[in-house]
Order: sequence, then C-alpha cells, then structure tokens
Amino acid sequence: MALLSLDSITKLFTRGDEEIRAIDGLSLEVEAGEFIAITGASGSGKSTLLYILGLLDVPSAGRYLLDGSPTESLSDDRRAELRNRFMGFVFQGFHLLPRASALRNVTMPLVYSGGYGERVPEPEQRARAEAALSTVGLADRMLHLPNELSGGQRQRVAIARALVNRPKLLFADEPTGNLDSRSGKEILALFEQLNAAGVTVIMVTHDPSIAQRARRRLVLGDGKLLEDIRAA
Amino acid sequence: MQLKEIARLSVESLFSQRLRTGLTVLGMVIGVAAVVLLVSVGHGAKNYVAREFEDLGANLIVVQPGKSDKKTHMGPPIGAAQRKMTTDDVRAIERRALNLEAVSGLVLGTVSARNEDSISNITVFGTNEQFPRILTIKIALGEYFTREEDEYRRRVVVLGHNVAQELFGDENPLGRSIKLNESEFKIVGVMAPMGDKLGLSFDELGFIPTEAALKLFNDDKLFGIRATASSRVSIDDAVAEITEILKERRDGEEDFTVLTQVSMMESLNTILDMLTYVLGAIAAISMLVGGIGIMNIMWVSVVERTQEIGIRRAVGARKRDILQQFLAEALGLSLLGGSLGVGGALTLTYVLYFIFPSFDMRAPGWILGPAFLLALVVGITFGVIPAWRASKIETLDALRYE
Repeated sequence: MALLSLDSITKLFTRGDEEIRAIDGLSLEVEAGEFIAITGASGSGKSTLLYILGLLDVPSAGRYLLDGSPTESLSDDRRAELRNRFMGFVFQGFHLLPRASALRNVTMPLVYSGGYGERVPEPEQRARAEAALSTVGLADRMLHLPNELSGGQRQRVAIARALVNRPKLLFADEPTGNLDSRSGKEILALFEQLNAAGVTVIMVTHDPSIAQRARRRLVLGDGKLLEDIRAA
Repeated sequence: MQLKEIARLSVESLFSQRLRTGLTVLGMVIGVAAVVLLVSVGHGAKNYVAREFEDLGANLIVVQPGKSDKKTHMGPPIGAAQRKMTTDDVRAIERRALNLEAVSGLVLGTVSARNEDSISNITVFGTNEQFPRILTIKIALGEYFTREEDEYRRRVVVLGHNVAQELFGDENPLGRSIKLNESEFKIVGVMAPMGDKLGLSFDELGFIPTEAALKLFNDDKLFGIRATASSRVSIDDAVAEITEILKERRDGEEDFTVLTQVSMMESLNTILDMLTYVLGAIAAISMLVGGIGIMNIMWVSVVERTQEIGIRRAVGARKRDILQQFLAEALGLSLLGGSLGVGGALTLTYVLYFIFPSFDMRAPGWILGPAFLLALVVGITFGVIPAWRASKIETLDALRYE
C-alpha cells in the first residue's frame, strides 16, 4: 500500500472574482522510501501540492489517504499531531525562531510531542536535539542564534528540527532557494543521506540541477501532473 | 505543552522587549497602585476619625433636644425641640442615673474677649465642673472651675491655649480679668495646647460655668447635655437611664435624642467605608486602562510573531498551545504589574506614614490580595482576545506571513 495516495485532488482559490484551480484533479501515489522532486513553472501548484501532502493545507475536493487512512475529516489538532509525529518541514526561508538558539529551535517539535501523550523528558529532548544537530554537522554551533549562522547552517538547523522527531516524511519547499550552490549541494547531500536511512523525501524545487538528483521527478503545470519521471 | 515551557517562553518573550514590557506593565502598576493607595487613604481617614473620637472622650454620650425621625445617628436638626432642655434636667440626671461618670449641660455662644491690650472673638462653652471628665481637657495653669463657682454664677473662665497667648502673650493670665462681651470674667485656668479635635480647635475656646453662660447669653435653655458612662459596658444602660429620666420629666414624650460615641462613629464609618469603596472603584477604572494597554501590546505581539505561530503550528503545536503561550504572556504582564503595583503602593504608604505619622495611611492588609487578583483578572480578560485570535490564524497563512 502506498504511503501517500492522492485521488483527483483539487484545490481552489478565489482571487477577487476569479476562481483559480491551484491543483486540478491530480492523482498520485508515493511509496515509502521515495525521494521525489516536484518541479514546474511558477504558479503551477507545486507548493500547494506539497502543503496538502504535509497536512498544512486542505484540498477542496478529492481524496488523500495517508498511510491508508483518509485525511479529509481530520481535526485541526489531529493534523498537528500527525505533522508532529510523522513529518518534518524545511522551508526556503529557513523559518527559524530568531530569538532561540539552534538547540532550542531543534527542540521545539519535541516540546509539543508532550501534548500527544509522548512526553519527552527534558534531558532526552536535549540529547535528541544535539544528535540531530550533529547529524547535520552543527555539533559546534548548537548555542548560536540563527543570525549568527550562515544561510547553509541555518537551513541545516531547520533540517535538524525536521529530523528530531524521527519523521517518516520530510517535506522541503525550495530548500536551496536562498542558498549558494555549494551550500545547496550540502543540503541535498543531507537529504540523500536521510533518504538512504529510510525517510521519504518530497521536495519542491525549480532548479533542474537539484531536481535531477531525485529518483523521481513530478512536473506540474496548471495544477495538473504533466510528467512523472523515474530515474533508472 | 508543559507549564514550565510555557512559563519559559513568556518570560523570554517579555524580556526580549524590555522597554515595551516595562511601559505596558507601568499602565497596570499605576492602576493597581491607585486602587491600593486610594483605599489606604480611605482606611487612614477612618482610623483618623476613630482616634479623634477616642481622644475626645471614650464613653461619650450626647443628648440633643429634638427627636430625629430617622435613625441617622447624626443627631436631630438643631432647634427642632418642643421643650427646652434645662439645667434642671442635668441635675435630675446627675441625681438619679447610676451608670454615669459625669454629666454636664452645654451652652454655646460666640463672644468678643478683650483685655486692655487686645480683642478676640472666641467660642465659649458653658459647662459645669464635670466637663473635663466628659471631654478630655488638659489644664496647664490653674484649674477648671468648681461646682460652687457654677452654682453661685461666678464669672470665671478657663481659656484655650491660643486665646491666652493672644490676650496675654507670655504673661501669666491667672487671676487676671477679661471682658466677655460686657461682663468681666476672672481667669482661673489656662488649657494646655490640644490642637484640633474633629474640626474643633480647642485652643481657640473659652470655658465658663453653665449658669454664668446662660446669664451672659441671656438664655435659659441648654444647647444640649453631655455625659460620660462609667465604663464601656455600661454605655447602653446609661443611655436607657437618661432616656427614662428625661421622658419622665416630659410627660412621657421623647422630644430629644441620645447618641453615643459608638453610634456616631458607626454612622461616620458607614460614610467613610462608602467613600473608600467609591474611591477604590474609581481607581479600578484606571486598572481597566492598564488592561487595555496589555491588550494593545498583545495584539502587536501576535501580529509581529505571526510567522512564529506558523512555524510552531507546522511542527505540531495545537491551537490550544498557541492560545496558552500568548495567554501566559498576558498573565506575565499582569503578574508583574500586579505585584509591582501592590508592592509599590504598600511601600509608598509606609513611607508616607513615616513622614506624616499623624495620618496613618498604611495600606490595610485586606486590599492587597483583591487588588493583585483584580490585576490578574483584568490582564487575563484583556489577554484572552489577542491570544484567541493568535490561535485562530491559519497555519499556512501564518507561515507565509512576512
């Protein structure tokens, strides 16, 4: 059974009087362990698709099964719980809390795990955050504030935050968009490393050289799936 | 989210904006302090009045002609009497009442007092020799006049401290004579400085025997009767006795009013309590302003941290976690404001008491808890709406907010 299964997903936006189909009857299946790049022109709906998959957005129509369970009727709190326990997010703008150290930023998801009956004691929170930061190569930057780190380092903090709860799924929205090409490659190498360890990675990018590294490429246009290319 | 984490987050947030936090808290501090201070002033006034009453004479009983319809405890309208109150009434009470330490008639009037050098308008009390046992009167020179001097209508006078000073300066006035209107009075005593008691300056008074006063003012009725009970517990019995005796002398008609110091103080206290509550309530309005300040800053904080809300929601914060986080901040602001306000006001009242010991406006203990609690309630009430709004922001909108 597919880890993610989309059936005729549509997402409508209204802008003024105009109705925009950001996603237009899209169907898709994703197996556990895949490494997927979603590409497409600006406005093709690739970010919207990512957010629907990540339970941050709700489709207007269609069926989305996550690990075999329907997601339409999930409450807001339940969605937050699923994001917390099974998903990690990496954004183009890093989205770190500016006043919190790298370590505090990474600990944050664990703080909220307590609300779902999985209270992680504070020493363990710290240990896991430190481990996640070591994984991304920031063992020596743990107590730095985001503005004391380079762009590549910030994105690695964000990845550590996404990893700390040992997610099944990692969603990345233009993760290299704000980085120089060297840092971008390092980030990508991290994703590959995580994917090799079993994490399903779904990444939105407009950069062909980045997209090529993924084992499966989805090309979107006008909210429809134009191409579904699997690397040999 | 754990309580500890919530507390840590709000402390961090408040500390990161020290000036803003300080100014917001200041609004609440002023509100809370105003409540405590105004209540303290009211409380102080009440204590002050109570002490003045005590000083004046502990077990004082006041009898006034005229019956007040309502039980106001503030006495009848002056001049409302049907029958005169006379020195015979005083003598009857003196003869028959068992629970009285002393009783005296009281005649009031204003006269010009003069000697060869100066002239001065003074208020004169006409009393009998027992009056110093009814109201606390301290004699510095000579003594109060005697029963014989009263009965034989001797024209003798005891002068208030200031009156003696004005008329005689540093000279010893004992044995000298002054003219009260056109009659000559011999000075037998001078009072020690006493200051004001309940708005009456004892230092500006003169005391003369009742009979001499009636003659001086060409009158035959008393302004009233003053008495003192033999002890605190016998006050009620004394009042009953006086009422009985006077009624008997008036064919059973009760056209007079008997008041005790206790009952007068009770009615004054009622007024002062009311005043205290009204002052406190007015001050509480300023606390409302402090609350609005908190709400204002919380709105700003929510808008500023929209993206933070989005990030937290994305990694698994529930709506209630966001609500709690912002509510905790509002609570932090009001906790700070409440404790600083109560603490500051408390300190201020003690400092003022230290500087002006005669007016004890030290904050009463009972106001501290409620004032602090009210600050919390106001802070939380005004913090709820922004916090609720924060929790309602759509995660995706929040994430994209720049």
